[in-house]
Amino acid sequence: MELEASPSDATRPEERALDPAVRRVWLMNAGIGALVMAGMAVAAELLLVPRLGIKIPRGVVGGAWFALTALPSLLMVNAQYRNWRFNVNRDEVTVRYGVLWRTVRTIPRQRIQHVDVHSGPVDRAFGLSQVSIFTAGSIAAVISIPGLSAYDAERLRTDLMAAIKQT
Amino acid sequence: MTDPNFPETPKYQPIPGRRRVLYQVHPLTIVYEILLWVRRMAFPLAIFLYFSFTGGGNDDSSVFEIVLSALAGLKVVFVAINYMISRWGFEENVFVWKTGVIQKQERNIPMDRIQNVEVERNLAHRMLGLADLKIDTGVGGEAEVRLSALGLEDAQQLQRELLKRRVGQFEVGPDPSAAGELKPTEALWTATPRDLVYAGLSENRALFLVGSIFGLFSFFQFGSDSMERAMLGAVRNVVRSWDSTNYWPIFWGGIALFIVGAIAGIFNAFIRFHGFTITHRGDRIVREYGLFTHYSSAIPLRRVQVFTAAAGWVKRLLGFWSVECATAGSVIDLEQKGSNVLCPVVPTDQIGRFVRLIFPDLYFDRAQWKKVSRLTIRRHFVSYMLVWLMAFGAGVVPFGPWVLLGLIPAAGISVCAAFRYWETVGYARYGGHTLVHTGLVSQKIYIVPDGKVQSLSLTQSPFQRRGKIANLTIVTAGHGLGGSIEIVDMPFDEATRLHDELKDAAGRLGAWQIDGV
Repeated sequence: MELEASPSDATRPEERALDPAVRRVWLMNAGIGALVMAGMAVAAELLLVPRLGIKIPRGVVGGAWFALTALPSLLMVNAQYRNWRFNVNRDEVTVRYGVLWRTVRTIPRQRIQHVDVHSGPVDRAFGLSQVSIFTAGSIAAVISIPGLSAYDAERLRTDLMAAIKQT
Repeated sequence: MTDPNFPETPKYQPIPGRRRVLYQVHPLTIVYEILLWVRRMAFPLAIFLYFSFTGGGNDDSSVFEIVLSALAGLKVVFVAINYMISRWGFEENVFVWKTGVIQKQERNIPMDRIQNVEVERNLAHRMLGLADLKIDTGVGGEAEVRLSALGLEDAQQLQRELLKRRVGQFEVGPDPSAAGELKPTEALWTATPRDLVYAGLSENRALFLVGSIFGLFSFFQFGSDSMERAMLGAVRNVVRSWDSTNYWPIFWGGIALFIVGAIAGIFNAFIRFHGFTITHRGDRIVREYGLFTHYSSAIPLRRVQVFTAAAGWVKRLLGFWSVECATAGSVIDLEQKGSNVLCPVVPTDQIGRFVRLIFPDLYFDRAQWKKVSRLTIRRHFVSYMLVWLMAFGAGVVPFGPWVLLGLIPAAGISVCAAFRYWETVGYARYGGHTLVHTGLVSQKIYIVPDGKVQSLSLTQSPFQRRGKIANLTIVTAGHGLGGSIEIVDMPFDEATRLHDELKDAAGRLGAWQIDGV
């Protein structure tokens, strides 16, 4: 096993990539998040900078903040997509993700307690859903697989439920 | 494109005696949810009503009225839509709950994973003839499904149906505790007064005392001005003694605080752990303790998810550890919530004895510990030095650049600490258990049976990738994602091998049940 993401599925044929549309979802989410942060930065600039008596052209702090928070997310979307892989086999569910910090997370199928399928407004706009898998004591989902078409999400859900019934 | 093996619409099965296959909650849910919202908004509503009746026609109150009215309107619309789109039902042996207006969610719970089904009624429920039904799968926190609200009869019928289907999923073994095996054995452990003194000494209560004194002052309101004056006076005295290079008042004050804190700690330990006794009853370990409030609690051994021995530097200096057993926080047995302190003070050479109480086949002293990669020394040295650098860097402005000379002894301390860390931490495998030793100042030893592993993660930072090392995280039902067990900086090949070994073992040992494996 390697944590390095494979450049193509050819090296690990059993692993699957996410739906390419998920990149647009991530871009939109990153953009919305960055805009909110930039709005806060602009508000801070208007309220705080005059009090500090510093002369900075308007919009510089907000713009810089937007660039600092949004650009890394926007630039990393493609790398993030390339590195996101998942594999559901007879025994376990494995996901592999991360650009700088890379993680492989595994749940033996026997340990699955329940499964959620959910989709937010942005997901739905691109016809995507997310499958979240929970184990005992985990409180939050241990594995969330984003960027699945509604059909794939339903297929995965049925597959996981069928496996649980056999155990 | 439709695959006949994976129909896009699940085939939900009706409850016997009912025709519909997908069900809605009770229509009065809309009223109930609005009542709940009104209760939560009682304070702003009171202000709203006050302004309305006192004829507060100024601009501020008008805006407030508009905002509150808009919020109320949105809430009604939201609750009504949620009622209309939420559905529950069965798909073979899976309970399905669909909900969400903006964030749509479908939760699927297999019958054999249900740990508890509860019908709950509060005053509003009773007024409207409703009930909430809660389904718990042992994931932790709140119940995984809360059907709010159903008609009382529907809730009771669904509860019976869920419990019936759940029982049909697996055979319930005989309860060993019901076979007359509950007679207590002789005490396995009794805390002596000396143990309690050590327990108290290791939990110094100095800061707690300082907080309590300030709290009491505030409570009895000796006057906020006098309180403020007293605090400022104390700070001023400290600064004055610092300026005049007379450090003795600070030194003796600290010593006095430490001694008083230690006495308070011992006093507290005697009250909390008075008569601390551990006995064996059937498949359970029973702890009894307490001077004023007497506690008696049992830990079914099969439910122990993780055994933990923990000790800060004071405890280790005194030669003691505390041992805990984390259970899954089940709501089936109210005794079994969360982590349990098995014993607050255990001499270091007795840890193995406690381990064998929980895992009879595990001989702690015979475990073959392995060290993590030596690269951890360098990584920890760098991280300690970064902290020093920030601390001394912050001192450059007030004290001048000579402060940076302090980095030289700091580097020496960091090297020693990093080396000591590498010597301390480690991991071992022993007969289907994983043992992990973590921490430098505050140390912990975890023991996880293979059957209790829930999920595993391997993580590498860019630096770890260069050094071919990785962190392995083991998650159990006793910890959750927030408090998992991490083996830091393992050689990558070894981390992968252990990851695969644990994954295979966990899969082989069957489905997780609170009483299982």
